[in-house]
Amino acid sequence: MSRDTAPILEIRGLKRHFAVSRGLFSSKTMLKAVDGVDFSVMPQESFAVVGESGCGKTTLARLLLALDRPTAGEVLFEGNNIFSLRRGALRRLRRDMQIIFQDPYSSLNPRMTVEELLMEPFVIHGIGAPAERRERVKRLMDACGLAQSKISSYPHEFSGGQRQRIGIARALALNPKLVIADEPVSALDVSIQAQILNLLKDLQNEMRLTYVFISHDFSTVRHLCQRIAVMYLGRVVEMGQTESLLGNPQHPYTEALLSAIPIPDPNIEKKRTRVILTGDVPSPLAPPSGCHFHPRCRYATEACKSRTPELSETQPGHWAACPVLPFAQKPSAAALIH
Amino acid sequence: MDPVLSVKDLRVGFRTERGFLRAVDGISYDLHAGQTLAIVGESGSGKSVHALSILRLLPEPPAEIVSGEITFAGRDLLKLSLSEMRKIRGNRIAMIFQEPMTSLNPVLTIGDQISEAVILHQKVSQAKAMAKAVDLLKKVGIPHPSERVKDYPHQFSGGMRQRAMIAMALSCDPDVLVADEPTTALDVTIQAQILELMRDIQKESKMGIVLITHNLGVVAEMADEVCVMYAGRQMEGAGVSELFKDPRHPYTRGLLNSVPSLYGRKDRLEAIAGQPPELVSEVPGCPFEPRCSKAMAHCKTERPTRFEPAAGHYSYCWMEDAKSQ
Repeated sequence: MSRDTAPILEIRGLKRHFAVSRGLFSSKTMLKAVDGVDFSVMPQESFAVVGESGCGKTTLARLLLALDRPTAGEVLFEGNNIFSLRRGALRRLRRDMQIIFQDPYSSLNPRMTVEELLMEPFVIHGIGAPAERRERVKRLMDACGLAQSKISSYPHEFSGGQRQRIGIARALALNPKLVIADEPVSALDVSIQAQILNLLKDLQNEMRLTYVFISHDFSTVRHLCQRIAVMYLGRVVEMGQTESLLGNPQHPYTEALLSAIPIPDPNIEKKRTRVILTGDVPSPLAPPSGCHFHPRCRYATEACKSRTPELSETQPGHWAACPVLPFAQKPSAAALIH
Repeated sequence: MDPVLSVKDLRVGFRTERGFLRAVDGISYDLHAGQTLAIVGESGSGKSVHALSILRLLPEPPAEIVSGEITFAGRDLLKLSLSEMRKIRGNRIAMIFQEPMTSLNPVLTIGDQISEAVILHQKVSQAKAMAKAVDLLKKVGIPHPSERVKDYPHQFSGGMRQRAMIAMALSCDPDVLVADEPTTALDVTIQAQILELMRDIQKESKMGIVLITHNLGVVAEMADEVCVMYAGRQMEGAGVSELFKDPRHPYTRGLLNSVPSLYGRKDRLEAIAGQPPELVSEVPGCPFEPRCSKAMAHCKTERPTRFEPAAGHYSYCWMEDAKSQ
């Protein structure tokens, strides 16, 4: 990936607010699911958006695919704002942008066979003659590790991992450029997760795909992605190269998230110091003032209660929305992982 | 020291239209006071069915406890009458579940639900039981417990609900806590809080914990002893450091290798090929044989016996037999 190529995806000032009424007579409150997100993704890059439940990552995924409309901001796909496209143009664009869903149980129509499921994208977009479509379905099944003998089977006849392979094959049917994967392995068992992660990696190399990976799990993301953005309550709090972000987190929230992950090695578990956050993630309906993270932050100062921090570059390519941590002496950040 | 809970050759199955499904097929272990035994396995390994059978919570039929002994306080739980079992369940042996939302009653307050067990097992007044509920909520770290005790489950967040479940489980100071994927539905930062809470309580009360999980990170953090299950069978077991340092069974090794790690460089994950078997058909040999790269001819036909490569470390794998010869 060279520095001078244009990004395939550019997100600028993206906001999605929902009006939520809490009762019949009370006034509506704004739920700021996505509240000012900026980043760009380069062709053939894997970019991860990581956060806990309620941070807005799934709303963001829906916006990136124009499945929802933003309150403000734009999403540029190869330079065109997807929200200002006409229907026909948007439909053509959809071939290039696909999604892989989390739940392989509910995202496949139970009354369609594998062949029908994989044929559907070609039918919808009017691609190829029936014989050619069949051929392409078979090739897709091969590429995604599905036995061709199962071509007339229904989703319930497959295991979870196999079903996720069908979901991936469907997403890749039309040779997309960008694939948004919304927690693609979190419903699967570990031994199957590894198979699917390897498959996604292989397919990326073969088909020159760009991934936006939505996840709550740093360890799976680390395997696949070059860059990571961490979200908290609708905002990106930190963004950087995978190794830099994991090895030297610049935002207290990232630091705590990393520290919370149990490491499958009892010797490391016994030795490491952990930052255990107190309290729950605040309700997005009433986020704390200033920096949203300040009530749970061990570095918070008075100023954090009133000032909303902006992302700033702390090291080349590494951005954090925290004016305190990058300059504080961090006792354990590096020791958290190593 | 005698174990607080001892399971011997437990076999549990279900009668289905397609035949007899062997969900748990010969599990044995000892749990000691103040210790945590982690049962690790993937979906369909029988780890939850085994947990439910300890508390006799499986509906019989379709479930059927084929054989085995579960010894607790000198008695075999599988031989107790339902009313005797009721005195133990929730009192001496408590359980917490994966889904804190579905395992709490949505139309009763948190306080009512916690005090229910206290009133039932300790025969105290309603007011005393409610006071105990407030104490318990305080102990599990719920802020403003005397007000929150009047809340309904939907007013609690996921982490708070799991804390309430733990409070309920602790209400009668149990000797054994069976925790079935207690943090799987929670975010990592909340998971860290709940695991810390369980450890603190265990330190104080010396209860034994049977922790059922699929997460090897949670195992490394919490367990003293580990037992790895696959397709209803016990594959391997050892002390936690020993198991991670020297895994013997090819399935355990596969499992450890397939976890993406946060440190070290692994470009490609070593996935275990294939799928877990269907339990309906009888497996005469080792159930892992079709996926095992080390499989030998007799792995398909002969059920592996228990080998002990080191003290306190066992593996059900014919490779151990080959090594020892």
